[in-house]
Amino acid sequence: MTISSPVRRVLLWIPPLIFLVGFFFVPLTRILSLGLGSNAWTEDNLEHIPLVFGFTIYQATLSTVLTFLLGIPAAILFARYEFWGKLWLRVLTAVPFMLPTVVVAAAYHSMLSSRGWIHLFLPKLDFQFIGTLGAILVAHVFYNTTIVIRIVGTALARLDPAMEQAARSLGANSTRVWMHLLFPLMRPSMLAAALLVFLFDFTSFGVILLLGGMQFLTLEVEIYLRVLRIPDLPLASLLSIIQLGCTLLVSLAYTRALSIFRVQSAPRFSIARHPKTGLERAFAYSMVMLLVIFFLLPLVSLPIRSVSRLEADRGDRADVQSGITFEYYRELFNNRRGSLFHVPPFRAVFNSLGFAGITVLLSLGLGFPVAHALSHPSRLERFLDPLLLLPLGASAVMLGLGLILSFGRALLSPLFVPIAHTLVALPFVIRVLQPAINSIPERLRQAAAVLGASPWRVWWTVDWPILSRATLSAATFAFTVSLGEFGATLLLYRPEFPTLPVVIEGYLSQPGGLNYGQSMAMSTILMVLTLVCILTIEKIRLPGSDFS
Amino acid sequence: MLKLTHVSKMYEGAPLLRDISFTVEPGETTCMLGASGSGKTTLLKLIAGLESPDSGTIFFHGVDLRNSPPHARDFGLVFQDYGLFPHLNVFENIAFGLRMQRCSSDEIRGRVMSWLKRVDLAGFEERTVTDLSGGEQQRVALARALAPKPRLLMLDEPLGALDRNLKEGLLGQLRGILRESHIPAIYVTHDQEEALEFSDRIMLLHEGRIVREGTPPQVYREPGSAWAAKFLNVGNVLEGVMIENHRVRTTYGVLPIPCGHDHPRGEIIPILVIQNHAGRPNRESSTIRVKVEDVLFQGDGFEIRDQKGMSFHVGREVKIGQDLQIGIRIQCLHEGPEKESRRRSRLPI
Repeated sequence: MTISSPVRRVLLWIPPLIFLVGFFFVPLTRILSLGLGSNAWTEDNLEHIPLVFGFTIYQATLSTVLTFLLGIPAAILFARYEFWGKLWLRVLTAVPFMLPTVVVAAAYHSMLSSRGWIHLFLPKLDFQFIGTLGAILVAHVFYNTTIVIRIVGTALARLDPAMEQAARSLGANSTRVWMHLLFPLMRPSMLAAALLVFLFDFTSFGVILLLGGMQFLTLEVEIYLRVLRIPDLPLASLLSIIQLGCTLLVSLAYTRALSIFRVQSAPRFSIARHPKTGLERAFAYSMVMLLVIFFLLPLVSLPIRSVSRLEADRGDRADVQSGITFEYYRELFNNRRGSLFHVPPFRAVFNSLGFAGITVLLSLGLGFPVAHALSHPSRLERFLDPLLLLPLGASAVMLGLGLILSFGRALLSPLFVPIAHTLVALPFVIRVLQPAINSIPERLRQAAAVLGASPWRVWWTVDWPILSRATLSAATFAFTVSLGEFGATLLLYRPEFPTLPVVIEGYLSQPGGLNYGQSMAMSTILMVLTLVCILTIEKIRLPGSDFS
Repeated sequence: MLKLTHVSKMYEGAPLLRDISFTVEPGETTCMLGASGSGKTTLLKLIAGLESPDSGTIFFHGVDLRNSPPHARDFGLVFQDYGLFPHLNVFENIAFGLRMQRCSSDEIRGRVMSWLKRVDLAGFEERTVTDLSGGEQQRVALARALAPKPRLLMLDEPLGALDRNLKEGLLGQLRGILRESHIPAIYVTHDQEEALEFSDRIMLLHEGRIVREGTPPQVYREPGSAWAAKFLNVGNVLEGVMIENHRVRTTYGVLPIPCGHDHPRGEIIPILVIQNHAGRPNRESSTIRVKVEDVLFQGDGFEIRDQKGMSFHVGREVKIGQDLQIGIRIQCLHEGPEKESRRRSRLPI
């Protein structure tokens, strides 16, 4: 006996709705009531907030501009030129986007901090990188260039080559082809890319905290400070509301920008070709070199630094010992007295994997019913759809703040960490699963049923083979998000159950060669775990699908 | 005017165009006819300067175009998928070439408006090009290419994406415009009817070579090769064995064949069987008996197929299984010993 359809649909919605209401919307109302209450609107706050807001906009704008300076030439390179190793370079530029912020921060520490490679090669140089605005900007460029390459590069590659040939035959030289044709045609995609990059830079947390430090007060960092360091929850709530408002506004603009993307007919074959003239070669090869260096160096520097001894041993101030060492990894198994956490650091690996596993189960368990319901939505369900996306607008730190406000710092169980991770991952999981479910034509199921398959067999032989890939993608995505999530975790974790990013942050912010080495070792472990996940997704996605 | 000498081009390691030589005279419309993949579009790109030949030279008015970039050639180009600029309206699309020539805005306005009138698009100047129908888009593309007064107009399957009725209307319009403006044109198509109707001269392109060149009646009457006869859909192609001069043995018996070649006895040659509609038999014509295997109604009569795959046109209704007498003429499609041996060496049979 089957349950009648409307009833079944309601049953599908109940668990995800309870989850979202309980862990997102109720906390959101707490933030709203606290932030809009009179306690938040003190004179000090009203003076302080514009400064924080202004700096957030300033660093995000600057980061976006710099990202475009690298991203636009890179997009042109990928869209218009063919070269050896192109696919690998594309993957390389996309890797940072999925890397946890702590790993990227640790990678830049491994190169450019006072214990980094730079001081080995240039010991006399008085060079300060970590703790500057420059470090924040470089890391933002490292993260977001791939967005520009994907959005603008795809738009450029899809332009009908006939347009450019027509322009040339009508008397436009290359400069004027770019000025009058290609750049104007790229404008909508550039706008969309700029808004998205701005959004990520605007809500950036880990990069600013770990590479800039607390003197760089963005909205996100200030919220964190006002929750944990100098508690002022009303101010934190008010800042969260401002942050959420801005995020929603920019997201809305981004959606609009995407919709005015004119669909030009895709070329029947790729317009990319090998660079021919001297100028083209100079451009292509120098861009390839630049991208390889910029994206590969941090990723290589970190693991090598994690097994290198570059300083004097304890108590032996005279001689610098250098060589290969696994000491930092061994040290992860020791629970030294006075160490930062209550458990041996390597336990963080298991905590992280465990939380990631729970996140996968939760987000798939909640995401599947929603995706099913949304694949043939009723009117009401269409209305629910944007609500599901709302958590995307909330920053990680804000999610943490909401949960703290609703459930109280003291009551927190370690399970709130994967719950927060699920809030972050769920919208993505739904967006991966729903098109896959939609892609199965009803005819296939009917054909199978007519051929004599029972409903269960229909699902097993028709739905599952198509859905398994999407499910694996979604699961891997949720897993990766959970492994690297930093902002919410920092607010919610219990000292008995630290995660990898939290432990890495702890080591990075402490002085001493051993702490530094351990942060390198842990970051390397986290990087390897994440890379394995990325490769799983890419391996599933690469054949037959384009990169966008 | 335009002159190509021994132009060749490789594509991905395989020869795409081989030893192409031809000229286009002032005011002449030349049709480049060939199947897809025969290198037609590439030939246009070479002339436009969008690609460069591996060997051979392209002259215009006696000037070698080797070092002339596409934007300096003053050639117009019209594409099958139009290549209109989606970010510009109709007026700005047509004005593009004039702006590149840095014409004054008064002149631009005047010329664009006059061209809009000539292609029946007056009043369309503010429209977005993506909102236009296919035929309207193609007329914008045509006006855009012609507005800067090109020295040569090239059309790459310009009507390929349009339906039959629209095609015929536009074809007539295009002929009128070209006659008026005296601009020489190269028209590329794979549609033999379009080519035969439209052009002063036809060039048949096959496997990167020009296999036949002439006026449409010349080419149609004497296709000159089995491939060309099949491509132009002229009569039926058979194989026959020479038994003596001017006589060939076929599956329809021994037939007379008027042929200037000196074929050795026993040589197998391709022959073209054309239905003799005039009906008056003469020395070169003969009659064959066919058994009707299939009948297709065609409006002005019936097409019949016989048991060996040949098809003929008859005016009255016939029944399947009936025997018919058909008057025919025969043409030798032998391409000469040199071409034949070259083909043999490439394609072992």
